[in-house]
Amino acid sequence: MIEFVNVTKKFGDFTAVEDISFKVEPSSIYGLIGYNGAGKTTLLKTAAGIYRAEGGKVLLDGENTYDNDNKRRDLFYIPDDLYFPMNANVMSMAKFYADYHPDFSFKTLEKLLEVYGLDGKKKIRGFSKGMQRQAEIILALASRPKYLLLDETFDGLDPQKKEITKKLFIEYMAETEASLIISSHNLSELSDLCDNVGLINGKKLTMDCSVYDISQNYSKFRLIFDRQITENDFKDIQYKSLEIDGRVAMIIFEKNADEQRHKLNALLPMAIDEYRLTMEEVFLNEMEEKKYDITKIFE
Amino acid sequence: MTSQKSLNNVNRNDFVRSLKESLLFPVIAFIVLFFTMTAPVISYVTSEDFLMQTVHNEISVFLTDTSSFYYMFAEIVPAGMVACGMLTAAKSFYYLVSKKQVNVFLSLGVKRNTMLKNRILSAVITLFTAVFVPMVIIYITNIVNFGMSAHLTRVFLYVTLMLFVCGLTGFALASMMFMVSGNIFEAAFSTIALSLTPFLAFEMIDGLSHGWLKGYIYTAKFTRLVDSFNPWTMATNLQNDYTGEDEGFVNVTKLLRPLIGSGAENYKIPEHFNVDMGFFLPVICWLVVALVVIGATFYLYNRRKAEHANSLGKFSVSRAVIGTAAFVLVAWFLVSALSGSCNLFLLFLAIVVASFIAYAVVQLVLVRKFKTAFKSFKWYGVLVAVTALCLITIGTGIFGTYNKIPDIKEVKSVSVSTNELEAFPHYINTYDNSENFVESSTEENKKMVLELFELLKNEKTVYNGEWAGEATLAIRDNDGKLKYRRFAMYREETYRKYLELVYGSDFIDAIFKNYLIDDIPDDPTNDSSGYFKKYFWQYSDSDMLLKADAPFVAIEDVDGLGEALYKDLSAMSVEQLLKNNEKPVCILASGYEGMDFLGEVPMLTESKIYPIDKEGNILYDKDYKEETAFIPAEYGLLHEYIPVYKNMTNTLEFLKTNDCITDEKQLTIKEVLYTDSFINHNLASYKFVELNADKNERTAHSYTLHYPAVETKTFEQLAYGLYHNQEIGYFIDETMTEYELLKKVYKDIGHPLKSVTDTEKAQEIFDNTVSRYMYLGDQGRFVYVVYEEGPIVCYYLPEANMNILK
Repeated sequence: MIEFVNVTKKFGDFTAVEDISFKVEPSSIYGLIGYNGAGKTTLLKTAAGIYRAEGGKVLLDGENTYDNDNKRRDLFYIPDDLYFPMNANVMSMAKFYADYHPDFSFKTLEKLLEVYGLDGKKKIRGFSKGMQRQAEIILALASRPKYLLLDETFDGLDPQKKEITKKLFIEYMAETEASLIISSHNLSELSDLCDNVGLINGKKLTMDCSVYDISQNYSKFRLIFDRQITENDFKDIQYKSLEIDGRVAMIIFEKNADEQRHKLNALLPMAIDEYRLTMEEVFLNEMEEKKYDITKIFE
Repeated sequence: MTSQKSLNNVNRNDFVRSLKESLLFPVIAFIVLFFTMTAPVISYVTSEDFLMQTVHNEISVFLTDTSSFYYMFAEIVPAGMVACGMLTAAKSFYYLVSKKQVNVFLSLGVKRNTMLKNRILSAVITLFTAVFVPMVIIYITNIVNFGMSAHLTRVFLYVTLMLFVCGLTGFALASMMFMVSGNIFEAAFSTIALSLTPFLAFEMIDGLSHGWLKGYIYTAKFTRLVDSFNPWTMATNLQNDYTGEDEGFVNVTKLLRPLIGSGAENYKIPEHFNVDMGFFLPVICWLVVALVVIGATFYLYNRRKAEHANSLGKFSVSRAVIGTAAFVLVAWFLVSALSGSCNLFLLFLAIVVASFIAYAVVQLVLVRKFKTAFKSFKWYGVLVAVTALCLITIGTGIFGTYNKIPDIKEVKSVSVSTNELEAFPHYINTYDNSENFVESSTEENKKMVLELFELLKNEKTVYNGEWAGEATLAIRDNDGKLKYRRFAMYREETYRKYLELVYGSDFIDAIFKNYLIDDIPDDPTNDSSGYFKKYFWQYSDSDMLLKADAPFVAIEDVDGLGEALYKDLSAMSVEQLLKNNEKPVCILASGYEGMDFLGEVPMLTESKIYPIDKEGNILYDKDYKEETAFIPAEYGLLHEYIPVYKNMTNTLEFLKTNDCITDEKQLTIKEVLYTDSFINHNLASYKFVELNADKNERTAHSYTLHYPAVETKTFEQLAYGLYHNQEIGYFIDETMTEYELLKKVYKDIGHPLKSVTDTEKAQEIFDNTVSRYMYLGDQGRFVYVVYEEGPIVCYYLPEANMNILK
């Protein structure tokens, strides 16, 4: 289990993340969501023991990860910015990681190379960006870590490789009971992979729940009226967001969907349809981003 | 849970990897050392020349035959090892300054301290192996061919340890700076800054002392101190002057190339390269420094924040180190440029302003933010405070302690420089980085030197002023500790007083006795006794003054000559010693043993006179080739001249008895030239050269110099006659005679020579001239006497005799 306990990380006077706590159980994949620069990478590097937290700690099965050689041997961190020495190939990198990960499996490595169709003896620096990322994923999985930290791992992968990778992660998690944390700003990548997601916004973890809970907690309705409507018509309704386009209104509720539906019916719409919210929509709603009027920029 | 065994394996694997990682530069060092040192030794002992030798009982070429191509490597190898250590550190710790590598290495399952330990241990092993293997091969080769020797073992240990410590020091300094640097450039700059700053600081203190600490004298000890704070030179130069100047300074480069200047029979490590603790001490000191720095590296490594990888100016330590280097560099430059030309307060202001600019620029380049740069100025304040303290310390003569005159009861012996005795080798009793001086322990001389000390310490400094003279004192206390002080004398009255004190005392007699009578001691390196007997002496009659091809006659009984000279010189008055109005009747010339001047004229073909400044330094610019410019200096070292006057009856008698003196020849005066100004040949040359600076005619004065024109002292010293007798002027005009050139020089500088062709008048002027004269405050004239036979000789007409020109 990976456990973040009130983690605060500062860079000089700047606080990157503040008082963040969440857990990643064994045999689970945790999606870490947030804008660019929200602090996802900072959290992962703190978990990997690269950064020392100014407050709180990250525990790997109860032990602090910072400068913990014992626990970190079971940890693998795939950064966003990959490092391969000059002239390195997958095999030489495998030997490198095998020196530091006692459970490294060359058998697994060979199988994974076959799955991805990579030549283990070719220079990695000659690979495309996506292929380099595949190489790193192969090396990570062959290292057989208990804790796998993945930073924007799907960047640069083609759709087919993304699917393969997702399946591999799920298979690996199921097989080894590993804990995985995947950070991304692309929610569609995580929705069918993660068990739980955490949303970092404004230095804090503003949401930490299971993917199932997200679909349960949010309700989205499309209402069609026979008349022009305004925001004023919805003044007695507590909604998360509302968009009106003539006689059509899109409204999102957080929790108590049944009670709200009752109130919507009281507005006498011609039609009312309920949708399940995508994670992306949840993400956008949660971030409460400042809305700009971009329609007049190019006038 | 990961087992202990796998933990050990991982740590071991990390060590093996770091060992491989640190190999590159030590391997290069190994190759260089092997091919520049080991291979030549093996090549020598297997050569036909060597195998033909019948006696092989000496330690042969320890490192290299310096007559070979490898000669130059001896100079750069120690510094190269420092660089090798630094580059090894860069290779070992680059992962800390690369953002990509930090992500990989710091997330690996190895404790940070273990990772650091592995890299340091790897570097130590590789650096040591790179040095040890080639050196031990040389050592074994020597033992096999010449047998074991304690001396050889010490040399082997010293050279091995020295080269290794050079590498280790470079590695330690660079490693520490990597811990406090964001990127490779910051690490490189801060490492260089750290390695040079202490050296520059000590150079600055030396410069300050030279310019503003009364009585300060640069000694070999200070050289060693300065060099000992510089990792680049600590091993190369630390042993300079170790065995005294006369034996040639011994340093490690001489150990590396023992054949410099030696004959082929000296294929051995000279025994006087006494490799004792004096050699080992600096190396051991630097070993300790390296270990302390490595300790600091651990501390800084554990405090280092990984997020600063690939950044610039994030670490206050490296900002302070680079800022300090900029500060010290500027201060050192100002101290050097302004030495002796302004008071300390002005110097301090100049340092504060200039270093502020330098420091601010460095900080802004590093942090690129005014606010952060401003915070760094706390350290600047510390530097200014330290500088102020340093200046106050020097300005007050170390709070009055530096020139505190000791009680006469505490004084065991004294000595004082006697540079004014130009007839003698000028390095006697001059204290230049050596302890070769004559000491006297008589009460009279003690009083004299202490009185002189009082006089000189109270002499007011005249910034930008000309010196009337310079004197060095040495006072040895009852514990044997020596106090050296060197003072400039700005006022003529101080200088006169100094001359009266020194030359009126019996100290001069002690000098003459020591120089002329005493025997050469067993250990000549630390004793100036018997200098006269180290030379072989030759005689030339007065024709030497006039003819280039005048032959020398060798004198076999040097002891007898010394005794005769001693009798004459010790009987002379102060006036005669310093201001001899007589013209010499003959000269005695010396050469080092081994140089055969017999039957030859000690002339310096193609030599040139160069413009000199008021302190006698040769001035030359890019038009002069270095080797040419130094010819006169070498010549001066190889020859000493003693003029013999009519009143030196004992010497003249000795020369007659030894069949040296032949009939004097009388030459006929044709013309006398003089100018309207007190200006000597050197000043004329100097001004002339300035006039022709753009015409590539700086080497106009080309002729061979003989006695006593070789020595061209300026204001504070004696006026010598100047002699010309050689092809001249080919740089200006191939056809121009010396006579024409002389007139041209003085005409071009605005002081045309006046001519007296009336032979009676010319003779009268000549009779009133002197060949040597102490012209302190004397505004006489330099007179060129042109002889019918060709030569032109320069004499001095004292001011008192100038009526003769009317």
